[in-house]
Amino acid sequence: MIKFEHVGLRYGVGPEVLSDINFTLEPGSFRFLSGPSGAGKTSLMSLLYLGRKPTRGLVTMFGQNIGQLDRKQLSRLRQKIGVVFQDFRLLNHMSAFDNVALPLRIQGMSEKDIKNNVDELLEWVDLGEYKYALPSTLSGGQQQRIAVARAVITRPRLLLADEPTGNLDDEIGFRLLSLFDQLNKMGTTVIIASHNQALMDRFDHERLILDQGNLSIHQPRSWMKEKLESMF
Amino acid sequence: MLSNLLPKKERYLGLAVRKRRYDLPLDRNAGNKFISMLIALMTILLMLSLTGAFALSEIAGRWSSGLEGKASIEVPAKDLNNVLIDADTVQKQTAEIAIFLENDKSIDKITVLREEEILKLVEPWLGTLGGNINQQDTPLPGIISLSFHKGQEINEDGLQKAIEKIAPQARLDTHQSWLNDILKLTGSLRFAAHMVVVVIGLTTIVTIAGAVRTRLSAYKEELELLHLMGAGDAYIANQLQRHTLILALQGSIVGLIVGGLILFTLNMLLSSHELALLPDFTLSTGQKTTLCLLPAFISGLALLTARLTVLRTLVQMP
Repeated sequence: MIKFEHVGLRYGVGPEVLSDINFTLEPGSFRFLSGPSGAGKTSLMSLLYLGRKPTRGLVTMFGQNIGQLDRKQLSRLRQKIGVVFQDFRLLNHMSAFDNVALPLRIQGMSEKDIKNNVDELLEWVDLGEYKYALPSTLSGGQQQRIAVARAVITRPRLLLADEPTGNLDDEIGFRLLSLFDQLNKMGTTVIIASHNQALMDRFDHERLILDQGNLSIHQPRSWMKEKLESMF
Repeated sequence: MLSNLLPKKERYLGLAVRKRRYDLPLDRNAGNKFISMLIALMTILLMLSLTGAFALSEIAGRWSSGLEGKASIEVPAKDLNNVLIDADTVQKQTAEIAIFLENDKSIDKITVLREEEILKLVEPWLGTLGGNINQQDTPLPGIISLSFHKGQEINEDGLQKAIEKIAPQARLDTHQSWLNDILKLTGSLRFAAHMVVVVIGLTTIVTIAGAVRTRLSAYKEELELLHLMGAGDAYIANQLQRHTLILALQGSIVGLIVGGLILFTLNMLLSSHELALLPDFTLSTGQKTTLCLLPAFISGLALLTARLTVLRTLVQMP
């Protein structure tokens, strides 16, 4: 589903912030992306949500080489991806409802269907009574739930979240990751960039670790345990 | 505000207006009034310069058609040696020329001006007979007005030679020399008026493009977000062009009303003075329709400019 081959990224004429990235993700997989601050997590995420093009290497998503796609094809590909940004990026002049409805409107869904879908999802994230509220009047946690609802409203094939638990306490963070876990079980491929080690430890998923622009893959504890058991 | 109709608690929370209009906060931009006002001013200028161009075309047309196919023959009361000729001789020569011209088939109508008519013509310069004019000291010339058949080419040289045989001092004037000068002048003014129309059109395009670019840079984050959600270039362009169209329509309609009032006032002022040189001018139905269609033209131009500017800017996004 996602394949990075010898991918590198640099900004302008600066040094490479990502160098020789290689990994493959199968449909329905769940990965944490971690690493120290400035390791390049956000840059890698921007390649994944097609916000940037790599300066070298080959990126294949949903079976298509993104370097060979025109603007319209890229737009259609982006519609299959849901993103929760670190700073939420909600549109402050729009209500919670309209923020969540935005991806559906972009995809051209009828207003009647939009209303049904958005109302249901806002209830699911426990924001039904705030649907006409402007984001600026809501708490950080509520804004985050709107951002999550917006990312999943289209039932994306790939869900990306950049430090989604950054501003949350551990318990709310855990509930949010559990929500992503549920979505993953429903078939969505999930990649979560986080540096919250303790929180990631509570989930048994493979980790992609970035350090100084280089990527390494760390297997989950269950895999290690299975491996050790099979050895002895 | 719709939100004012909602319960106080919800208002306190800061509710968004329920009806979604734009994904970008275009309605809240402080520059909206500026764009509308600028377009209103452009419309007024366009109306005035177009009306000027219409008027000049009309005036040039009337001058040209009024004098086309016409000529006059003057039989001066002085011979070629500048010696005065008595009034009877002048009258006799004038009558002979008139009789000769009657045989010319290219001429439709010959009018020999009577003495009273000639006196009336020179009155502004020389005064009245018996007053400033003494007919013995100031003998009057003979004047013949000619109308040629429509489309008939005037054989100016042949005619001049023929009348010179009757009265050597007689002069044929087809008005072409001064008419050409005046038509060149009105042509230049009309060209200038059309250039003003073009410049205003270009200024409108540049202004709209600048305003749209400013918006695009002001809403860069929002645009990027829409882009990342899979909004195509056309989707984003549609929003900005719709908003620009509404602003342009508002501005140009106001401009049309104000411009119409200015033209009406101008017309009132001009019609209260008698301008001998200028013929009366009123806008034709076609010209009025053209002016009334200006808001549609300007709004269309604004819409197209906005769309192209947005599309050109969005191409720079990955």
